[in-house]
Amino acid sequence: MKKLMIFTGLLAFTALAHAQNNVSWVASTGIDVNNCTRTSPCRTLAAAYTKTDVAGTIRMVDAADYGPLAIGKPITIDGGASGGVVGAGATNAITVLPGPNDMINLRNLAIHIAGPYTGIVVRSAGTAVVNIENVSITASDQGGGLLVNSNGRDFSTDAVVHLHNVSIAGAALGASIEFGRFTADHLTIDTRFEALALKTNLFNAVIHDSSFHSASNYAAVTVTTDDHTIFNRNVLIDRSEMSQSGIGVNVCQGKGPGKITVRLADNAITGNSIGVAQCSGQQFVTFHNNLLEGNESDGTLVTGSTFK
Amino acid sequence: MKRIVTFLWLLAIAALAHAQNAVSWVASTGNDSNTCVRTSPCRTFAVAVDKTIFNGTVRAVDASDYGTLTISKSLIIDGGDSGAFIGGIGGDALTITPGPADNVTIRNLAIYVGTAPFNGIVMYLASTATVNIENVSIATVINSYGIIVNSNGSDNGSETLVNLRNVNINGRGSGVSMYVGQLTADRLSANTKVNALLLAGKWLSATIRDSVFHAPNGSALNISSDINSQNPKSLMIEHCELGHSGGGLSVYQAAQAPPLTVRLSNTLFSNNMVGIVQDGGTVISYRNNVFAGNLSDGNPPLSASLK
Repeated sequence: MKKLMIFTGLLAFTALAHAQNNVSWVASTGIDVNNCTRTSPCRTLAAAYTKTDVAGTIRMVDAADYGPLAIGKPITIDGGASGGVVGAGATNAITVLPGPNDMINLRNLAIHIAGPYTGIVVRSAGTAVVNIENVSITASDQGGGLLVNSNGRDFSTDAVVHLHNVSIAGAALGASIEFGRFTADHLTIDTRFEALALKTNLFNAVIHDSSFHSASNYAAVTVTTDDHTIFNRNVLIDRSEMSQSGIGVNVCQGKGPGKITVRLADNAITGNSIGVAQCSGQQFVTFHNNLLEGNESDGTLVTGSTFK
Repeated sequence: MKRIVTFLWLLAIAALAHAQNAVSWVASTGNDSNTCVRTSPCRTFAVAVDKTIFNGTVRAVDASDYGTLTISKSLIIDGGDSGAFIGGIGGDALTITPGPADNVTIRNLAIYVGTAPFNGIVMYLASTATVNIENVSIATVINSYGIIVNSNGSDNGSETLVNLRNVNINGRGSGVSMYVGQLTADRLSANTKVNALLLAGKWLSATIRDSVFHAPNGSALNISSDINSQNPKSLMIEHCELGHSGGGLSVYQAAQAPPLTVRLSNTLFSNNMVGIVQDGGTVISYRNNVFAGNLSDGNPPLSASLK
């Protein structure tokens, strides 16, 4: 009987030790040894993450820097109206390593990078989905805003990153999307180097109602493939603005079999050194409703398509 | 031995006196003698900026007036969702005088101009300095300006860049007055008495989208090229509304001044005394603009085709 009681006690202790929250909380006055509930919040996102269920949520009580975070399971990080910040010291602020079927949501966050690091790094795979919404990223002249690439284990075309109402400012490089599928609406990027780069193993991208500027004579939007790109790449840019940059939209196809098609509808491309540029072949398709003028050289859009 | 200890102690004191934060904080309960870290916040932006490294960030804990300040290095001020504001009493609320390649970002703030002739945000820019202003609301009074962009006088400032995102200027003064460099504006709303947006002097180029401008006692947009400017100037206006003003768009190019070109696309001119007032320069329409309810639509612009 005594042995049974000890065994039961050990079981209960083990369960308590692994108890996790569906919703965890962090606060400026929290302590990481707490259990991260609303009445006993933690101090850092990293500690709260270990105490949160798969597919759970971490929320913030008030304005504070809650430190960098690495994510490797389905989860939602929601700053709400707290004014909470994800600040990075000598590291990237948020690193996302989803499983092949995971969904991760980053919402209502401010992210600041002080050194040569990146705000959000996504190393995706399979059919993973990462949603980034109402997020502001500010970075120093050496930092980057967003990097999306493969985790190196597959070259899936089905991993997706969605951006909604995301702002990146002050970064050396705005967003570099190098894997899977990408959608963005109300994305604004004001950077010193390339604002948005769609490259390497990106499959396709849709960009709507967004604006891109590079202050140092780089491209506002650049689309490239390299010698190893195997997929055809389709990019639609709609009702957006690419201006005051070295090149408005720059397309350059590598020697790999993947071909690039960039479709432009209802955009303003103006005030650049070059409006649209392409390395070789015809890679742009216009719907004949783009404002391409007022650049030192506008470039040409030869291939057209019609509305239906 | 005693001297060495004293020397080391003085060194430590000096190091502490100059310690700066990557991220500094201000709070309504803060004190400017604090270190400005989150657990020991300062009371004013001005002191927090002094205690923040180059390229660092100043953040706010809660809603309060954090006082006027001057920024003269690469820096981010981010009020977050705190409700932080600057009540400009006895001076311009925010003065920005960055170095030639500095990058300054102002985000999530409310600015109140207390009295004329003081202003909301005043910039003195040169070389390739960049200023980003995002989610900022500015209230003006008579004879004050929401935002003024000037040269610092060291060069012509043609490469300087000001990016405005979701900026709102309301009040009885002027909106944005830009005398140097390049401007991009996305979701800028300026509802003022005098000019809602003025581009004059050595400004070079501007792109404005998804924005609204109203100035009942002046021009919604007042754009000029004069003999003191050096380069051709261009302005793109798309998906905007210019209304309830004396002139929706006023364009003036002086004799002998560099050429000025204004392009209009998907823009609404309504309820102005005159839609377009033009004296020199070139105004190009992409034939998708709406003129409605103006006493006079004004000069018909030239037309061009979309591509």
